[in-house]
Amino acid sequence: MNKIKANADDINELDLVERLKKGQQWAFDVLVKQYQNRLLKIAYGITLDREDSLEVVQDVFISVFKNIHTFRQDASLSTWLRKITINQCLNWKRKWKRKFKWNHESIESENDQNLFEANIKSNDPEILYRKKQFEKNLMKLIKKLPEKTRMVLVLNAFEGLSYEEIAKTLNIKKGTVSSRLYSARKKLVNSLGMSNERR
Amino acid sequence: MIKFIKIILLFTGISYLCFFPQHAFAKNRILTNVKVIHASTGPQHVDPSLNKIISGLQSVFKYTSYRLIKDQQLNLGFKESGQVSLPGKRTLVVIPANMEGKRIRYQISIQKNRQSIFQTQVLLKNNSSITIGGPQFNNGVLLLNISGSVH
Amino acid sequence: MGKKCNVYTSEDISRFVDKELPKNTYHEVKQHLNICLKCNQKAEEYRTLSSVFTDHAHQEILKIDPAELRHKLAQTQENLEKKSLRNVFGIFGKNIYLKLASIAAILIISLYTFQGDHPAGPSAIVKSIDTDFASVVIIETQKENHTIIWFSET
Repeated sequence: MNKIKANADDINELDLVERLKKGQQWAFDVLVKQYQNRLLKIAYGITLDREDSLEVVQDVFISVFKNIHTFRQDASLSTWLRKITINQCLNWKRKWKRKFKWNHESIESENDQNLFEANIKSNDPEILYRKKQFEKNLMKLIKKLPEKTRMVLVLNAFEGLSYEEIAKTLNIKKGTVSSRLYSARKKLVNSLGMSNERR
Repeated sequence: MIKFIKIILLFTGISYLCFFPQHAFAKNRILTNVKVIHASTGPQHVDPSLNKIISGLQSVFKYTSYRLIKDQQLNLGFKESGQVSLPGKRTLVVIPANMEGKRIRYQISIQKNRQSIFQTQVLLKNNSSITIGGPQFNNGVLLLNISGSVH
Repeated sequence: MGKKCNVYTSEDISRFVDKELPKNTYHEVKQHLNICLKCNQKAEEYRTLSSVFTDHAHQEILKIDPAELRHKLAQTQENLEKKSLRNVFGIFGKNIYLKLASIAAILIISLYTFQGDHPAGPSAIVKSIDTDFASVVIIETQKENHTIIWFSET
């Protein structure tokens, strides 16, 4: 088989798993290329730290390469990778007892009338500045969310998983997923929206 | 390295405690237990407290009934005399004399009407026992199980 | 922001945004959003939260250097081999002193238990007997090595 010509995008999951099981270095490179962004985002969403999320995902890939023979293929490779990433993040946090790096700064509450213009695509410097502020404030609030709630938000927002899929991944009930997601949104919107009333 | 030395010192301490108790604790007490057993050919019976020694006794004697009629604990120092009254106006006298290696030297005497009718000197293994019998009693005999341990 | 919608709750809108409502309800809510400013705004807010969060994460994440990762993988494998060799030849691997200490302690205590209190031989060694009784027998039971001194008063 002409490995050199094969494109990483063309390789299908089954084939990749087979090659990984054979210990092919090339397959490992493909695995990293295909999945790193997704896993890094999930890890970042949970750890909220760039360096930590990088370390976690590197460990995930190494662990997957070493333990690929334990992958039973009863779920997709991405599902498996996602679960490993979440577990690694939780273990990472437990191991190092990391707290939020940022201190408890108060939210800068200027111009919050246009809080939700963040989605508006504009080159107006003022709008761009407000967008940045909104993002900053949002992240401060997200950091304060309980880890269990944030995980649900991460899987919903980053992976687009259904409630059912999130429930399976985290071993919780579907109803719990719904209520945690709603609770997170309510908290975030209220906190960001409350500043609006101070104007 | 320091950790290793600490461990070696710990071993030495443990070894000393394990192997030199007799010399280290020569001034301690000898707990002597005396069980007075009535053995007879009556209805089958073995007192539960005799379970530890009964198989040995049954391998030697043809008695069918073993009843515990007295169980006395004596806390004696060396050369201190301990007495146990026995049925039929008898008395058992035990004296732990000294240690010989890991054995306790006992002087044991059975008296009747204050007269010694039987005397023996034995070297009893620590935490072990000897059985002496048998003065006649009530259609059977008396077996005297004497055990000793150093404390 | 003032009044809430009387028809649907914020939670309904949250589930709508995630397409987790029953099919019919989903379409009803979709229709409702065309006429209800409040619900429409709520839905937008919820979508914005997700998209801003996602964009932020996308910007923040660092890239994995494949060469560095390969090196890390090779190192991990090397460490694993060293560990297993240490275990084979060193037998104990980590905490060798602690393990040696435990084994030695067990040995010493066992020696003490089995020799210290239990010298070999009968339970009692008869040194002397003084009696007027005609027959005296000294017995040692086979199994327990229990010493019995038997005399007959008759």
